[in-house]
Order: sequence, then structure tokens, then C-alpha cells
Amino acid sequence: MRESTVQLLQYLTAALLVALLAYHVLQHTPVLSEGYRVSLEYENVVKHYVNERIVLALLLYTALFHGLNGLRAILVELLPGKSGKVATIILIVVGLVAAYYGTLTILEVA
Amino acid sequence: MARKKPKLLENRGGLRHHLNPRYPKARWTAERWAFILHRLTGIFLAVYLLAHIFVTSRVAQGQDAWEAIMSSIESNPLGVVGEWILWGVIVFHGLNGIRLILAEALGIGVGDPRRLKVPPEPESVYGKQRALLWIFVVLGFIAWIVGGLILFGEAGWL
Repeated sequence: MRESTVQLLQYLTAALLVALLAYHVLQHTPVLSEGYRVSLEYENVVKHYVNERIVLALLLYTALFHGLNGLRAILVELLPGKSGKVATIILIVVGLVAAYYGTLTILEVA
Repeated sequence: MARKKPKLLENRGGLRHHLNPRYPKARWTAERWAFILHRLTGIFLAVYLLAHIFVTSRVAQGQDAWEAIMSSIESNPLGVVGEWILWGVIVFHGLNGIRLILAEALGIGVGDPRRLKVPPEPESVYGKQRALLWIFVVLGFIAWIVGGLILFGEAGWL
């Protein structure tokens, strides 16, 4: 993929994350739940996974792409030559493993 | 007449030149601080994201596993301070990211090209986007404190 396309995706996922993360944080405030500590009690977390599994999955993939691609951009810029390509491959593997692990959690609970 | 040493050599040798104090560095503008902080907070958030995926996976192992890991975070003073730092980092990275989408991706508030001055100044610092940076710094600070009190202070007044 061309670097310009990747950077465009970085901006698009950033905009998406602003909305998704605002919603994600609001769910732990009195605005959308009974407050931070209560929302983190086991029954409420399980309820949250069942009701919001689509949002959580979207958040997982968007955040993983944006975060790991951000790391890749820093590494490619600072490491000259082939090291950047090696870093890209390592981060793709890390991303796939984390995405699999996160998806498994969502499916197991929900 | 002796020729002046070329400036901005730090960008030629990657990380090695960045870390070497002998190489002259670019001017420390507000945008540069924002850039450095955006990278540092970005690295922090990427590492946190992986840890967050791991910690929240405990919920699939049942109530005991979940309550064990939650109490280990809540009883640790580092966990409480960490929540405040994390929230501050999210606010900074998010607001500065919106600023970057506006100024860098869409070119809003970036000044028009000018006649080249010596020493050259970056075009990006002429426009209105500088005001946006300071507005977001103030907004971010307010969001950090107020949002943190709502999240972690169990504020009864909301």
C-alpha cells in the first residue's frame, strides 16, 4: 500500500477514534452509566460486552490499526534502510495476534 | 571567510543524530513541542492499548479473575495516579490529533506562502492554527481536570 494511502487511513481512523473513544469513556461516567467504579463491577462489564460487542470490536480494530501504524511511522522514520521494513512486519504480526486475542474475549463473553 | 556549518543535520542520520547533542537541533516552536508530545503520548497509548486488551480479557475467565485484577489496580497507588495520567494523555493526544487533522490534513489555518526569509521560518507557524493550539491546550487542561473528577472523583454534582 502507498504511504499516502496509509497516512490517509491514519487520519480517518483518528477521526473515528475520537467519536468511538468519547463514547467508550462516557460509558464509565454518570452520563451513560452509574459511574466509574460501578460500571467496572463484573455484572456490568459482562452486560457491557453483550450489549456493545459491535462497538467494542470496531474500537479494537480501529485503535490497533491507528496505534500500531503510529508506532510504525515513528520507527520507519528513525530507523534507516531495511530495519523499517522489519519493524513493519513485526508490528503487523503483533496487531494480528492482539486482534485475535481481543476478538476471542468479545466472543467468549458475549 | 569560513563557511557556516549547515544546520538541521539531525534529520540526516535518524535516531543516532537526534540523540547526539553535537548535532544542532531545529528551533523549539510550540508546534515542535506538540509534535514531540504527540509522539510520546502515542507510544504510551499504543503500549497501554495492548495492556488494556490483555487486562480486559480477564473478564472471560469469570468473576474471580476479573475482581482479582481490578482490586490489584485499585489498591495500588500507582494505579490511581496512572488513571489520571492516562486520562490526561488521552485528552492531549485526542485534542492535538483533531488539531492535526484540521491543520495538517485539511490545511485549515495554515498561512499562505511568503517570500523566503533568512533564516527560513516554517510556513506552518504563520497561520491561525497557532491560536488553535493554545485554545486546545487550555481546553485540554479543563477537560483533564473536570473529566478526571467526574470519572475518578465519583462527583455527586453531575
